Amino acid sequence: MRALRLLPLLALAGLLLAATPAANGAAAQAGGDAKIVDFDFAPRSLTVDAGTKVTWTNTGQRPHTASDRGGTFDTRPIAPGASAEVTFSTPGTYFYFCRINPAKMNGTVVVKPGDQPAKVTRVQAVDPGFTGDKLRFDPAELSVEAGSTLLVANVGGKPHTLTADDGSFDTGTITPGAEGGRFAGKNASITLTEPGTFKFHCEVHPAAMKGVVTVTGEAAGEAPAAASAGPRELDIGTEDFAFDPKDASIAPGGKVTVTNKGQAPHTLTFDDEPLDTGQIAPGATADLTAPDKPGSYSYRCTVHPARMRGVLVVLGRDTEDPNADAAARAAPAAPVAATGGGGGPGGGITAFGLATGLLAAFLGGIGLSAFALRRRGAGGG
Amino acid sequence: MDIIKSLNDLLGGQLLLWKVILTSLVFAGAGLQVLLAARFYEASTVPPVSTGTAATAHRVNGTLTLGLAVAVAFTCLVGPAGPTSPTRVLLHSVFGTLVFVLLALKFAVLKRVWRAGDRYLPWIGSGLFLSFAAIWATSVADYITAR
Repeated sequence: MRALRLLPLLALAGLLLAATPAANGAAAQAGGDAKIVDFDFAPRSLTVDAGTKVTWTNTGQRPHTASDRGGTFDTRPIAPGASAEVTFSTPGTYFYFCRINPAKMNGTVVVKPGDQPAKVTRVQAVDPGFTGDKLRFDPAELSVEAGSTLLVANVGGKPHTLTADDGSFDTGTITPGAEGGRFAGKNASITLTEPGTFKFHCEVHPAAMKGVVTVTGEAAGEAPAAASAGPRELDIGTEDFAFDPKDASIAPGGKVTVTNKGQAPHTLTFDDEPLDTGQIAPGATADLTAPDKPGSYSYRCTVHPARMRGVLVVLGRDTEDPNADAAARAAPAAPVAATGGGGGPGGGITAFGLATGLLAAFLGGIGLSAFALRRRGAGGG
Repeated sequence: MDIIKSLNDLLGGQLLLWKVILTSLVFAGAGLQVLLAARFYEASTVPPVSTGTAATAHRVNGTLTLGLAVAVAFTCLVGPAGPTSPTRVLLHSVFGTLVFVLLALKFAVLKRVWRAGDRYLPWIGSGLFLSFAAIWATSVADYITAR
């Protein structure tokens, strides 16, 4: 009988425990404009030349995003009537989706190589995961110049690698998007320095996922850090609730200074590298050293992981900067002054939320228990 | 017009924090509602006020809590919210809808549209409180634990 009295409180406790985070025109079109409708992309397939800026305009009534399934770009939510742009400088196929409606809204952008040989080429690792496709590399056969980089994007729901049969290069395991590829996966980069023809495969699915890359030209030496096209130092601001810039490039081993320009605390935490600023108070700064290995590194704010994400590209020698246009746009902007003074309601929000929640549970628990006891008394009496 | 952006600007870029604060206040208000209801149903002697006072306080507190709940729900419905996890968002949506279903039932009883529902009021009230608890758990508690 005592247990019956506790039932309402137990139910409430269960609900509170549930708070732990559990943890997504058909024809092809050439050109750079696409519409977002509720709940689709129009057209679903776009073909553009390298360097084209694609603009997505949300003509629907709900916010949507255009996000790479391989994790290289994310427009963030685009409000109804608003637009967002992404410049595609790396040739390849891009499976993209709306991360608010990942099941309903999926599209493809095919970026054709330009006149000049590409310094970075995208290869997608595809599987049945969420798109219902088959296990394959896209493209499975390609030709690149020595010294150029392959950006391998996992757009499926299973882990993959891109590994040379002779062991001369290997991306390591590239993790898929959460929930079997419902959300964006990761990517990795490898620089091919030696000319020749290399067969490659996925270590996880060696029978089904195979390909060949032909590396042309003269052998390219190891890239010294100083020869990188990326800056040695980079400032990233954290606002409420976005990184500015969200996607940026830097030389291997460069210094990243993170300044919290918002009112809430933020972090800059890499997804797959042990790099973390820890929590940065409003107005404060923190420094990080970029990874030495060229590649794309996704990061997030652990305080606001759903909204604050970005990608840091560590540029190797002669690697084309995928964020060059963004950097050029951002350069003339006046630096945002740090608000200083910390404070704001962010500091005590945890304590306030917990205290109020406990108070509510206490008051409601007494009330529910009183009703339960009264009913039991009436029933027994 | 970007309503969320305007609201965010109006609140000094602190819309999310204000939602956390208001949702917590709504949950506390819902807890107080159950306690006051237990008092005027004479199931409890707490708080030590008359049943008439408890009923009046229940009505005033309920109006304020409902007003806050509607305001927060409005920002949830019109605002872009990238999910931290689809399960959380799904549960939040389900319980958010359940609140308004239960409120509709309650008003149907109070306005005599559903006269026979009188005896279910304590159940409806308890369900409302538990739904608010679930909403708090899938929003504020998620926000806090994510920090």
